[in-house]
Amino acid sequence: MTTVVHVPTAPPVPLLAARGLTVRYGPLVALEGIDLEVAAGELVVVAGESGAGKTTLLRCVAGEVVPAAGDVVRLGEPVVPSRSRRAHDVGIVWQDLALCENLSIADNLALGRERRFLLRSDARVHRAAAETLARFGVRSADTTRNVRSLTRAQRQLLAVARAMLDAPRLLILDEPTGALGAQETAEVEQLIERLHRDGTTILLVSHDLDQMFRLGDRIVVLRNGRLVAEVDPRRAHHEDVVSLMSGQPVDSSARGQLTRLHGLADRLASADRSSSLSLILSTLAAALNVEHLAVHLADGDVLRCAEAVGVPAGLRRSWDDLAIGAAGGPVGLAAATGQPVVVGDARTSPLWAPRRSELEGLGVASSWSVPLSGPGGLLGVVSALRSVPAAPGRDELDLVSLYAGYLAGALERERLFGEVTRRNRVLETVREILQALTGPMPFEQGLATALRALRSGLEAAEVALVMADGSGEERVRVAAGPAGAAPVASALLEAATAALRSARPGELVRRAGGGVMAIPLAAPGGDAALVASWHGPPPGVEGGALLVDAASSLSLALEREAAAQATQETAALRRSRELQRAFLSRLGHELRTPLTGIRGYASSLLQPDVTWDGDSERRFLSRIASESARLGRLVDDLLEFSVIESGILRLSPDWCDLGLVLEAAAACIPLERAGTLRIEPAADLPAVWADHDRLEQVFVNLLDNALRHNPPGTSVAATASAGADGQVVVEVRDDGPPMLPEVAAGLFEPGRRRFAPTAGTGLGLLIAHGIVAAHGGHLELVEEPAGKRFLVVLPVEPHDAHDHEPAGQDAWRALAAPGTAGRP
Amino acid sequence: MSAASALDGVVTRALIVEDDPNIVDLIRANLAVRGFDAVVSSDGTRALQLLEVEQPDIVLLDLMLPEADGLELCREIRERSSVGIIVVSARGGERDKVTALNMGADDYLTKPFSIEELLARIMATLRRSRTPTPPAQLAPVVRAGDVVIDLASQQVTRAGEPVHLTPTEFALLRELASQRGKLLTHAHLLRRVWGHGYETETEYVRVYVRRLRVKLETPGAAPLILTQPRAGYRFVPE
Repeated sequence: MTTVVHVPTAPPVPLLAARGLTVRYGPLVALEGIDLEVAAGELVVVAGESGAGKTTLLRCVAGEVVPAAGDVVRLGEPVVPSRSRRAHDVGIVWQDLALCENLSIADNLALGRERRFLLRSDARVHRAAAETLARFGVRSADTTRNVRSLTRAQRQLLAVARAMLDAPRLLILDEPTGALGAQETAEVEQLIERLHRDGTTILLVSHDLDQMFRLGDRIVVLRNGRLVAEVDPRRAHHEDVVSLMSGQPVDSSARGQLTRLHGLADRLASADRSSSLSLILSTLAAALNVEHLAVHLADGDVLRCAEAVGVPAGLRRSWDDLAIGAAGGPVGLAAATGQPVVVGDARTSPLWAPRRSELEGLGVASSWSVPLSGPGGLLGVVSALRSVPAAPGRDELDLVSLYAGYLAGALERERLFGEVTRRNRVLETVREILQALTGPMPFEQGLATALRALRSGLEAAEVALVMADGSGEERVRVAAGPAGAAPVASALLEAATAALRSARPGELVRRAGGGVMAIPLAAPGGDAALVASWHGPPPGVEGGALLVDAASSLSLALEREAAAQATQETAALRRSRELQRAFLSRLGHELRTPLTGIRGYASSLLQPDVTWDGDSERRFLSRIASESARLGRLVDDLLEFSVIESGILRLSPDWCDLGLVLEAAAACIPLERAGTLRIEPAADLPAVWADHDRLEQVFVNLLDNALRHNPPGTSVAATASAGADGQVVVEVRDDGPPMLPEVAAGLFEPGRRRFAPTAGTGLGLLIAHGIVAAHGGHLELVEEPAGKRFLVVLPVEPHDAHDHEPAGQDAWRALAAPGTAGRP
Repeated sequence: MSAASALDGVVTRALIVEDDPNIVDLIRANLAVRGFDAVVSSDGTRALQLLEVEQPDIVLLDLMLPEADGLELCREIRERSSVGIIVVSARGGERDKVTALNMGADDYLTKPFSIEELLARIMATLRRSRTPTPPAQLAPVVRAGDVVIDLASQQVTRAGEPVHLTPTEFALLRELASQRGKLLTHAHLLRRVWGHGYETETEYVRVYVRRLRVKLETPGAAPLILTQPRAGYRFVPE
């Protein structure tokens, strides 16, 4: 039984204090161990049923009863019980008022104080008495009249007035309005309030609950001679006090139930939806004075425990999923029959047999299960478990039915709200997905964002887009899970595979027995499936609809992306063809230049009408020889470039020390030019998996270019260092004049650049670029305000075998996109 | 061939605009041995200076220069002088050839070339600018509209204003005007104006006819040179 009991903090020096007060009348214990403090100016109501010990307590305070144990301290002095001595600091009005029926009003006022009035004339006595009565609100008082002429209220007021004559600091009132009507009670209460307001400390015994709450600063409740509670009337309810007085729950009291229901309705209106179920349940527990309650909700053909009060985890677990029907115990039976199922003795009922041990552990002896019905039929069952083996009364069952109505209403409200929320979420998610797929972000990123939105919209554990490329191998294109795009569970892939085999695009597949849904979708270049998994049960109709919508959005996006990609590829191909044409044109030029020399000199020597001198002949012949050599180099480079360009460059990789590769390259530079060359590999340089000879060729080209195309004396440095992400960076830098922007722009484009005739074919840099690309790295020119800086970035290990294949493609792409290729 | 330089008893001077030292050496050696004088430049500004100072009889112009646009240089030379220009280029496409002719070149030689070919073209170009007027069997002065062509003095006026023609342009015009009204084939014109071996270079005629039209014809008015598609041209009859 829960009761709100608030104990205000007592002031430091109480006007009245009882400690361990125990009073026995023979074998009867009237009071036992009463501890009570009353502060100055306080109005304390003593409540309790008849025989609870209220009057005995007052008599102790008044000093009329000798306690068996404990003491009472009044105004700082212990109360010494004595019938003879009258305490002037305490005014007491007993229930019987102690008025002398045969004396006048004035005489009654003077009763016990005869000495004071002794020498006064009757007139004076009566005048004084009238004034006194007027002061205490007794009007029209002919004080000479016999008290019998007074109304009950007037007599009560008279008694109070008499008690207050000496202006005591403590006034004790024993049921001052017990015998009065409502109007008269109000008069007396007015007086009490006035005295209280004026600072009188009042100990009031009352049976009137309203009065206690109207007048009292504090209510102390006595039951069977014990002080069972001190109640703050501002915070407690009437029924709390009633229940404390009787020691019985007051839930059967109609008033209490009404108050409770009223409060519940208020709180439900303002409560968070999610807490309404537990709110109703706990209020019902209080209303029935039942400690164990549970609500099961129908979910398909099972009943799931949605909320429970006072049900321990063990029972709750075994109670979580119940079948509808007798197999589900009383709960299942109530759900199946739509009728309340009352088990009077749970210890013997077969319905409880499977869970008997848990019930016994809980001290449960009987149960009631009442079905909840909504507009769509059965919603669930509310069950109460009681510690006594008894069937509920008619009222109690009605009460449960009433609360069941509340529960059904709350559930219906919850369901409707949930439906609206889910619909909104579906719309919101679809909007997010579309936004992500059509927004400015790169496609793959948009795809990932869309899947994340879908995952949160579906409240799924994982969501993945699985692509089948026709080889029978499915792979995850993009996924969203709790840890981002971490590898998805194999169940997801399996579900996708199964869906791809069994269903048509757009056909939703719910996996039997598991929280997985999959839907195949049409995608360019193969089939795809969108698949989602849940830790709990998968969502209902809205979830499925959302997945279907998302699948069609993704399908459209994939198609659009494929089209865009095709357009891009076409453009790249066109550009590539243009570059190839330009390259061939330049190649023609490069081949023609040495040929011009060879043919020109040869034809000169063959001129029939000219006889050349010996020097000229030798010069012509040596030119023919050198131009032939140049032509030979050109053809070699061309073959090499075509190998790279067609992607058939074969590397012989091994673990290479780049420092050694650089040294070897430097050794190939003619000595007369190598004077200003520095090679500086870092000490912590990791070995790289690469083709030593090919890399040497790359560095020879870069070093030779740097030395050859700069004024003599230009210093050239090659440094190598470990870069980020498992890369090694070799930098070839010179302090010569910077490269002209137009030259730099066309550096990796054949056909745009023309080298000096002595500079070889001009293909060297392209070949170097191709070799680096074949290693999975990139070669780039970094723009510098002064000098030139080439970077060769190589992975320590190749990422993937795939990376080697498009090396030639990369070379052309580098050609096709000058200035962007190879940029990090 | 050494007779060429002795044609008028003066030394023929060639301006070689080329950046490849091997080619320069090759051409210069062959011209020198035939009594030609040669001046060389590998850049455009210097070439224009030499054109002014040295007054060459012929220009051998490489289009691929490291720091100049060969075609632009060709146009500038033609603006300043009616000297014979032979473009020597590694680019052998039709388009390249037509562009060079449009820019005022008289001839176009593709690398690699034999020395005989180069010398033959040099001679042909020089001949056009030096060959004395052949005896005029017909009217030495041809009038068509407001254009007056004096075949003897090689003077052309249009509405009384003198029109400046290059030797190649005048050679073509003379060929057409002297056989007025008669259809002259491309091959005939090429052989007569450029020489033997040029019969298939149809573009040459087309480019030069177009140049003549620009200089002599009035847009919208009746043409001076009539086109006979796929055959040739004829000068407007009297």
